[in-house]
Amino acid sequence: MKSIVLAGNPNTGKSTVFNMLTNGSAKTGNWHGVTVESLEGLAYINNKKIKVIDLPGLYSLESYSMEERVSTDYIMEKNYDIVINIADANNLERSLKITLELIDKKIKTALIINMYSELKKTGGNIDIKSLAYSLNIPIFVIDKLNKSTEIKLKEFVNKILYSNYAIKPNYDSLDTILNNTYKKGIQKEHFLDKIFLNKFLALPLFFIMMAGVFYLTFGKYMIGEFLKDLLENFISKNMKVFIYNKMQEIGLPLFLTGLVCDGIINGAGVLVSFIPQISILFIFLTIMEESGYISRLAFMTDGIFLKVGLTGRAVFSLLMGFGCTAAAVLTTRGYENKMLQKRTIFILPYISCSAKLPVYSLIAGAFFYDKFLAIITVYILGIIIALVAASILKRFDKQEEEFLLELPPYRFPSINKIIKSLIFYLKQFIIKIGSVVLIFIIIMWFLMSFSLTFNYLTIGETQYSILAKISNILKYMFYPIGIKSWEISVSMLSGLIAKETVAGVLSILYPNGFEGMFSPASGLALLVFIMTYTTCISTITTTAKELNVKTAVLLAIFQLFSALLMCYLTYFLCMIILKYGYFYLLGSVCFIYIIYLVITNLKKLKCCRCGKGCHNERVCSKRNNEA
Amino acid sequence: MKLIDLKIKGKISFVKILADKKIKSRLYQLGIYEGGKGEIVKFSPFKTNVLIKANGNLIGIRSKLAGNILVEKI
Repeated sequence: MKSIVLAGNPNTGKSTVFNMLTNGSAKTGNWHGVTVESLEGLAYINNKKIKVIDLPGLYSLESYSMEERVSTDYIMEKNYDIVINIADANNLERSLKITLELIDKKIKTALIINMYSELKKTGGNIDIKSLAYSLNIPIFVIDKLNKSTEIKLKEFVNKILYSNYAIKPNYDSLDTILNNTYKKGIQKEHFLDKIFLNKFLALPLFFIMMAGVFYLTFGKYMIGEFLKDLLENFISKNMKVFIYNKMQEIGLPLFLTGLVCDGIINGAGVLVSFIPQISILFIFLTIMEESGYISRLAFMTDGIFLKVGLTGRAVFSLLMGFGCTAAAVLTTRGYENKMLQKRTIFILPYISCSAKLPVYSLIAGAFFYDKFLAIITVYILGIIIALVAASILKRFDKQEEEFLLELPPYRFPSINKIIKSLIFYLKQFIIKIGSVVLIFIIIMWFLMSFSLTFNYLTIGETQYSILAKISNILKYMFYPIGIKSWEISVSMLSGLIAKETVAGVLSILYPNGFEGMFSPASGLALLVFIMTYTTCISTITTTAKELNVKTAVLLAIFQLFSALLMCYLTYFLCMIILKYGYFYLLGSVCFIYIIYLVITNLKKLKCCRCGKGCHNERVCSKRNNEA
Repeated sequence: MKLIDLKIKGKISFVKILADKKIKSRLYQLGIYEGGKGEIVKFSPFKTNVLIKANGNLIGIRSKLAGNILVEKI
């Protein structure tokens, strides 16, 4: 089978070309480092199968970062038929450096010039014929992304794959080639940069946008909640009743009706009703990714992240973390500094992924009057915990990484692209519910519906079930927060498989909901536990792949115990507030802070000889030596 | 003059880059090299970062690195 490799600078549209050739759904985005590992796909051109490999972006064959090394190693060591260099028309001089490097190494090369329409808009131009003559390689230009371009692109790939053209070393310098063939466009400052890069507006605007999206998703009478309720009613009432009646008519056994209605529909079916809310969040994230806004945010927040020992690049990982933690872990591969990558991976689980959304929604809906406020508090609390964790980790290791980030031009994502990404994402979500989550829910339903002697139990008899017997010990897990039920503990632990499972298992264990079963303080503590406890198995696996198995397992165990601790602490603080009021809590915090100040100052008095406020003997003697 | 010491936006030329080979090479790829020209576009809050336009690219640089780039105003 013939194979082609797509290589080029970051953010030139390699994954877009890959998707066009393979009809695939490789992740695209308008920021540097979207693709972090090589992707393989199959293209069918003229009834022939062709292997297409999409490589992470690189600036030169002399590699710099981890993902660049992946590309260089592939180009230099693997077998393939041709390298297609994807170039950005707006930055041709930089893109062509790789083309010339490939030609110099006598690698069969072709060139695809992408984003040509953008160049023309800014007054630039390329003399394609002269450029092809100078480089002595075939060139294809992508002006617009449409079906006709896709057909022509496939024809081009077919032609270059089966034609034998000799690669001749180029003796002209890049400047000489470009002087005769390329006119660069004039890029003016975009009006949006006056807002998004304004030092007073940038951050407040980001928080307002986030709050707006969350309000749209969870706010009362807003579209997210409205559609969710509509779908939930349809699934858990209309559909369930219809299926129940049909099964009764046919005369199927009671346990089978129970499995379908109480297990599958109550558990997995209810998860489907969260699709509208997940979609709103996903669309917002896609727009941020595709527009080039995230890079601006990374630039504006680098100072804040530096304070906690991270870099502005962490913005990409944290925002991806709102979608999927495992995918967010992968974005850290671009980090040159391994310790910094480790620190970022450690804090990512505190960013609530979209799989936690149904669980938050279920619990917040049961315990809080204003669901939106409760959920947004959890999300903000997650960000705060992540930043605090990062600053604690910084104390153990102070290594930094240079922040050097290219800000891509704004590109407004087409509705077509957003819909395509959304469909792909929802397909993945439904497949996950229909496979792993469904199997787990069926197992849980079975364990919950049968006794040790395999007698089918009806509602109200779950205390005699197999699940109750084997999980009884787990009821002590949440004793300190006033929850004395094994059902909650089992649901929480089921989240280790996939976080969606928690909502599914809660729905089958509590078919009538759990409003009023615990106090709001217990509910809040439970939300904190869900937010901070061990990630799902796929994230643990990805972490093991990026770091190592031992670190991933230790991290998972640490997350479980630290989450329990934070959950107990939340409940304890809530109890203090409820019993003595906010003033007492504030007073206690001030008192602890004063004690902390006294202790640290005593340490200073003991060790500091230079009078500059050193915290320990080592720093003090180092300063004295330097002086 | 160090790049970070400049207080206002404007055109500059890069005189000397005091960084290791890796960073120098990355800066070169992005259009920042000794003898090259650029423009200061923006500073981030508290001047922790500086945004430079070089060779048509917008590049965000942390102030620590910007302190190692010597420039001249044009």
